[in-house]
Amino acid sequence: MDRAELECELERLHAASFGWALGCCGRNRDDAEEVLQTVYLKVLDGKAKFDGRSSLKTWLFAVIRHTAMGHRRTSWIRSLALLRLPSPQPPPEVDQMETRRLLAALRRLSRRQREVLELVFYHDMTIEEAGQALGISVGSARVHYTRGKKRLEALLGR
Amino acid sequence: MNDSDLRNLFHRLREEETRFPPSPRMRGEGAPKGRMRGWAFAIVAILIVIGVALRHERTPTSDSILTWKPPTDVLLLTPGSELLTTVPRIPDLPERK
Repeated sequence: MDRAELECELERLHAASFGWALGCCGRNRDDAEEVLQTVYLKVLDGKAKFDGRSSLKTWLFAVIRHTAMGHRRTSWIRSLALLRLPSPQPPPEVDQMETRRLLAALRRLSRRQREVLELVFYHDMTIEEAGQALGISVGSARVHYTRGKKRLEALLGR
Repeated sequence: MNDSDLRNLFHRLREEETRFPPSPRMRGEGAPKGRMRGWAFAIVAILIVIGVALRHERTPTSDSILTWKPPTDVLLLTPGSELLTTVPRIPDLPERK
């Protein structure tokens, strides 16, 4: 896949990638934008190479997640070094009551459960694809999916 | 709440969050803020380490330890302690010839 094709594919997946970056950055738009730009540069500079073992979207989501984790780590170290707490995250720009409740419930799940559920329900991936994007086995992804969904339903059902 | 309800809820959230995504920035210009900040932090950290190392090199630590005197040294002196460290002179004793 040459650079022009890659750029085209990245543009096509941009909205979905941004949604996933938001999920990986705790819904912080600035961080998500920064992470996404870093990912695009990584991909286009050839630092992250698509090997065709999964779909491009699954692979790209794995790169986004990995980059977001690194970003979070360095932000934390920087905030420690400068003796200040990480900046409080702005409230999500969501108006509707139900989606607010969903976000609040998602925050109470474990990270893995939240990630699997977001990939399956928000991004319409299969559990297998979600497992690939997260770098875990299908069995493990299925366990996180089942437990997470059960907990989420309980939290939303209250 | 079944799978379909959950999916609808997630889709609504997706529509709200990704309705106005930022334009994709795929060029090298305008490097990510995080990267710039990272470099600035690294440079400042290196300068601090160099500064501390140079300062440490200049300070004559061993000499200062050898010549150091405790400020509360006088408290160890007791009244009459000079009797233990000097030989008394007795002037009235007749000299032997």
